[in-house]
Amino acid sequence: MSRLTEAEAVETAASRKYKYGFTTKMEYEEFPRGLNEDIIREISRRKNEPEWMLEFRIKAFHHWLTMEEPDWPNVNYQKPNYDDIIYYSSPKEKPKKESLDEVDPEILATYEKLGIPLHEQKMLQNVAVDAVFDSVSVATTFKKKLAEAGVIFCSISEAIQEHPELVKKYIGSVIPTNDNFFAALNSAVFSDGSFCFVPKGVKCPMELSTYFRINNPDSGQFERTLIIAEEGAEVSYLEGCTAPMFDTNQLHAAVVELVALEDADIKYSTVQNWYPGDENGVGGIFNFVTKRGICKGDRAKISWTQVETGSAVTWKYPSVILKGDNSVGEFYSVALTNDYQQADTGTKMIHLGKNTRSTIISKGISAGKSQNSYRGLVKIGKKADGSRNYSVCDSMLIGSECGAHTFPFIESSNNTSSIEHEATTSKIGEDQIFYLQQRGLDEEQAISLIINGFCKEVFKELPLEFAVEATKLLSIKLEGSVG
Amino acid sequence: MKEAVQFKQSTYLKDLHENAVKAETGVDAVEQARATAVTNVDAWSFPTPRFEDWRQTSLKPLYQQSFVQAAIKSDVSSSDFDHIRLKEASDATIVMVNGKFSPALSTVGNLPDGCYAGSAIDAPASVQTALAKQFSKVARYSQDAFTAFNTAILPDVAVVYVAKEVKIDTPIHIINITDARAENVYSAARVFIYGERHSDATIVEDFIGLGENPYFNTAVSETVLEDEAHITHVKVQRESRKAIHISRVASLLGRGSNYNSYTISIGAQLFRNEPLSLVDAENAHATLDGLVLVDGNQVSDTHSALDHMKANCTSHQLHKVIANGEGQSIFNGKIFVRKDSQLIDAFQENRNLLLSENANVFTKPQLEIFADDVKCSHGATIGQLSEEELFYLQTRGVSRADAVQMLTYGYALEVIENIPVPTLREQLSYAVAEFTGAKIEAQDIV
Repeated sequence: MSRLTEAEAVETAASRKYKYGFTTKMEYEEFPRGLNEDIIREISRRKNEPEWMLEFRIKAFHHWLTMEEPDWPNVNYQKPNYDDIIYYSSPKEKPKKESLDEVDPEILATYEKLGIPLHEQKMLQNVAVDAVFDSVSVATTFKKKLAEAGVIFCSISEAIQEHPELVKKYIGSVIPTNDNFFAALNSAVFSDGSFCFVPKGVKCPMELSTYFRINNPDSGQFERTLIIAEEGAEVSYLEGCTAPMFDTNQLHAAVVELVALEDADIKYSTVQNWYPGDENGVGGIFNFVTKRGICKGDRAKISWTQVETGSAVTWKYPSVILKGDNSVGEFYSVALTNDYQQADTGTKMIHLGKNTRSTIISKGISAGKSQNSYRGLVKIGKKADGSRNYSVCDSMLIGSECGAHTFPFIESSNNTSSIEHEATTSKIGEDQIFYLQQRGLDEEQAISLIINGFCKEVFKELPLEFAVEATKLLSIKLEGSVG
Repeated sequence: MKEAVQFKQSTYLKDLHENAVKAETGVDAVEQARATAVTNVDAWSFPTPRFEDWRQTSLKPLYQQSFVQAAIKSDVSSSDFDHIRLKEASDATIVMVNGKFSPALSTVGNLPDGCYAGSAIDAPASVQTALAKQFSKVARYSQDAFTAFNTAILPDVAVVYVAKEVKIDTPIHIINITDARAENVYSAARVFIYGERHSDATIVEDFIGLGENPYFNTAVSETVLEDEAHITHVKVQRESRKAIHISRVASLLGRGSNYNSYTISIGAQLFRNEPLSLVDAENAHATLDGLVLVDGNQVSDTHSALDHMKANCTSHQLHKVIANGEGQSIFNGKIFVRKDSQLIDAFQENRNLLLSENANVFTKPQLEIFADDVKCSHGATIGQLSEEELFYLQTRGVSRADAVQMLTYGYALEVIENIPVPTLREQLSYAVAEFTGAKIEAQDIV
């Protein structure tokens, strides 16, 4: 019951209007709008990148020019005008800082409003926070502690300068530059993001997290995250997003690549709560993300957990390539859509190695006039003997104007492997609500409790503080949409 | 003899059609549909793997071969299809040779008053009215070149018409024969089934081929159920191993009607079937079951769609697959629940048994739901026989090979056992036994 009381408190405190709608006034050194080779050269020059990085970008850009924006997802939106986007922006003042005192107080105040005071987290949560403000890292904490353990955790721009051999080896190795339209775009113009390298045999001493935030109207944000866990290494990475309220749609096309070598274990959790547009579907973020991990070595494990509650349009399929024998892939997802939100999300599990296992638990909740789709692929290759997959995707509909869809693609070419998939769609049982009301809960509390129960399998995979946040988020999001 | 030409893929059907002898049935409804279809064949392009619904299935076996139009006259004799005759339907067997009704081979006895089974060309006025109302309107496939092609070239239509409040006790057997003994041919089989209010009938649609040559068969069947009608439709595809069979099985359900459809796929090199059930009235029930057996280099593809357009309906779909050899099975089962179609109970199950190293199964169950007060679920599995079950049988003295056959046979029977025609169940049981290698005796037949 503790979760519920917490949710209760939040519900009464917060109106369901997006509470993070504000902008921080800052000076930007802006780029001209649009994209061409000169822009890319300029991005690369400003970031002082080596020649191979520029080549990578230019190659991606040329691929991108030949590609078309995908229209197969089950979403409708006004396609962004790619000539009207500013592809690079960064706060003007950005010297590297050792302590928080050196950080621009205005930025700190923004985080304060978001409820993520850095110093408090530093003290209480023991979490190193690599905060991406617009596109450039402004504060990195706990760096020293991580360095002692041998873990490299920094912004990707920094990694390109200081660990070029690692970046060069792994960037684009999981998601090639020509993988898809948005990944190609990201590869060409990515401004910053996080880089994490956990060396052989090291268990990362703390959970890593990054808070992303879009702050400049009309500026697309293109993060690039690269996480590498060497043999036997372990790391848990958390990512959370909120964005201010704007009327023009903003594009977000991130790329996340995970590489797990032999016996490595990577856990990647996301809570996504970007601006979804107003009640009439005006504005909101386009979240077109490519996330993929590869279990390169034997017995490697990659686990994706996501709670998707924001964005006007979500297009996201965190995937795992199970290449090593006995490797494990997991995907736990809660996707909630309300008002005019649209989500087309799911996963891909590609079994290539022997005795590989994957689990997919996906929970979709649609309310208002939203559309929520699960799209997944489970593929068992010819050589993946003894592999197993278990998938469950459940959808819940709240109200008669929303839609829930499932598009699972299941393929097997191996006769010693097995795949199980099940999906259900239903509404909240009236008898369940009645029972809870009879025990003294009001209708919204009852629904909140049922929804939390529905999502429990996923929430239990989240680190504790995120689980609390996720529970709150769902209650706030659904407030007023039932009854 | 007409010369077979090699055509380009994109205009394959169009070219085939242009080289076809213009068919003419004299039935207004059919000819009107044909007029539209002819323009559609020209306009709609041949599907390529870029079409989402054709991504998994290659039509190479079709467009890399050339076919000539099957002759209307053919010397098919009764002995060519005696082995598939149904004892129960001895009084109601319609034989279509290369798409054309054959009065000599068909045996249609006295049907109850107002009922009709035979060619659309000789059909009485009541049947003509039904054709005018619904012919080619049930098979609502947009942009589908194959249905258009079938409509454009069909030489005849087999019609079963069941009058109001009549129950036809014996099944009606429609045998579609393609005669490929002399050359590579293509033909179009077309069936139209109409059940008036409170009628009840069982129709078995059978497909076989003669000869060793490859042939291309497009088959379209349409079933209309008026209010409270009960129709059971069984499609048995036992074409020759060189056949390419592309078919549509469409149905339109009235209020309170009950439609049970079973599709059994045994033959053909490439089989593509698209069942489409439009549940456009309340309280109706649809069953869309299927059994697919593939081995050798067979490809069997089922793309079904069950469209719940009105509230308070139920549907059930069980699609079972056994893949052996280098066989390949594709399944895409769509269930739509439209806005305001509340209180729908839809269930779909797809089970695939992969028996050999080189067989391949692709499945995509798909739910699209726009109403909130519904109960919809689907399940899909790809796997093998249970080791425990095999072990149990072995402990009882059954050899492993026999146990595999026994269990595979049992697995397949789940679909067959619901078919309400004993002789057909028997024939199919033997076909499954032959496929699985199981030795069965009379008491094993369901």
